Amino acid sequence: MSAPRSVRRSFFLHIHPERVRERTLDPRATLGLGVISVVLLGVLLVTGVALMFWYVPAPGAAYDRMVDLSGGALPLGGLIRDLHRLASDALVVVVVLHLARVYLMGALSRPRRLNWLVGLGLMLLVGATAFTGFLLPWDLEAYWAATVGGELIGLLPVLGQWMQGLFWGGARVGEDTLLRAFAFHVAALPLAGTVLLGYHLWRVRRSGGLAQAAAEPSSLVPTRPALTLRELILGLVVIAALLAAAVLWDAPLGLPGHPPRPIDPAKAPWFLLWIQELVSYSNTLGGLIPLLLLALLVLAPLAETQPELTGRWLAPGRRGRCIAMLVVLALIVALILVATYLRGPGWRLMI
Amino acid sequence: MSEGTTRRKILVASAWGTLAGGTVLTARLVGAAIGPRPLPRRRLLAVGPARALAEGGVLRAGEVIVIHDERGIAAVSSRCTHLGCTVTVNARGFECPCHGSVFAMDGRVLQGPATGPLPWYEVLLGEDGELRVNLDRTVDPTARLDLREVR
Repeated sequence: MSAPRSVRRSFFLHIHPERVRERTLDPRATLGLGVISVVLLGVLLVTGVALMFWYVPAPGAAYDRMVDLSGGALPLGGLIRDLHRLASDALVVVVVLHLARVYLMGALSRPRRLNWLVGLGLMLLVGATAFTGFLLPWDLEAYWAATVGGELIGLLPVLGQWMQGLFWGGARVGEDTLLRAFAFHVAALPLAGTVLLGYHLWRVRRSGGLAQAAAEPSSLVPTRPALTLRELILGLVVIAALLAAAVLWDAPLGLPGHPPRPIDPAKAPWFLLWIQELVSYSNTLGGLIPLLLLALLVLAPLAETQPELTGRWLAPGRRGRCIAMLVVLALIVALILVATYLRGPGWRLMI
Repeated sequence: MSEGTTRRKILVASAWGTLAGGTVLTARLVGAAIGPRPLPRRRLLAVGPARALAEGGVLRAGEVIVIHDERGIAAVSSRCTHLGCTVTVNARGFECPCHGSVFAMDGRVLQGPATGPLPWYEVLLGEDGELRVNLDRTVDPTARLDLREVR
């Protein structure tokens, strides 16, 4: 006997309440960034599991499998890899935008302080998963990213050396590094992410749904179909866009990373290029600035002492720090662009 | 009555003890599985027969670059002291393709972000005519294995 309809429905009601504030339906309130993230995660999960049936986490074999995949050894194999890579790149962008949206709207004061931190943790997990995924094809870009990444991790205070050993699986990058990247990418990090994401979504609901200004009149509308329909449409649009992009674009694959050879220039995955750019000036800059920014994000809720400023874009009382955040984001994007387009052999500026 | 209470206390205490012990044991087991493999003992790196490296020649092997100039044979680390990328060789010296550090021909830093020089290693010539680099011993950048002297 199947469970009664009300019980089956209530499973999803744990994500959404029976009724939501009308504001939740307004795309300008959230830009749909949280929903897009979840849809992208779904795409990553499905394509990722499919790729696991094909992939071999060993230097040489990993690369050969990627070549076969794009070469048509598996029907639509190239498309699956393209989709996985695109969804991953998109997720990195969208979670950062989601973080910015929440900040610009001041949705990190009580009772949302803890969820802000959970969100930060999720963002770091997305970054670590994207990075370990970048290593899996084990092309030369992956090999050098593992080398430099591990060296940088080793410079972190206190736990740095231990984390380097955990990541490399030895004193140097080797076959254990690839196996570990695989274990992190397909098991350890997604597992932690799933648990944290469940908590993240539950906290949103517990905090009374979408943050909104106290003064705003809040009329409630039934979640079904108003909100669920909008989410469904947004999800379908995201998937359609990914499919279109995956047909037009091919996931990159460098030269085989086994045995390792130098490449010039060797560039990190795009979302870490701003750190590579900073590190090319000095390790102190490249290490301290990202850690400082992270510390500022962790401490950010402490500055939000006026809950009445919550729920409005760049509320007058918070405009200064909102603009500061946008400036920092713009600088990071600028550094990424410099490293992508202006750095040539020997990491020299090509202007 | 008091006996029952004591029994319960003992049971609860042993349950906590088992939990704590189990946690520690699990952490140890997982820690052993995910910890780094033990450091490989560094050995002599065989780089090929000495006669294959003519004067003016350069060869790469593992993490070293072996050069043969007019004074003899020497081996310099090809691992950038900044963040471990392999340097390229050119007329000026060595260059890192990852962050743009430049090293002179003797391994000195000409341009950051690297702060330390590339180390030079001892080169040995075996009875079999094979060149080996001793990665356990660094030497002065001017040190050379003089083949004429050896022969």
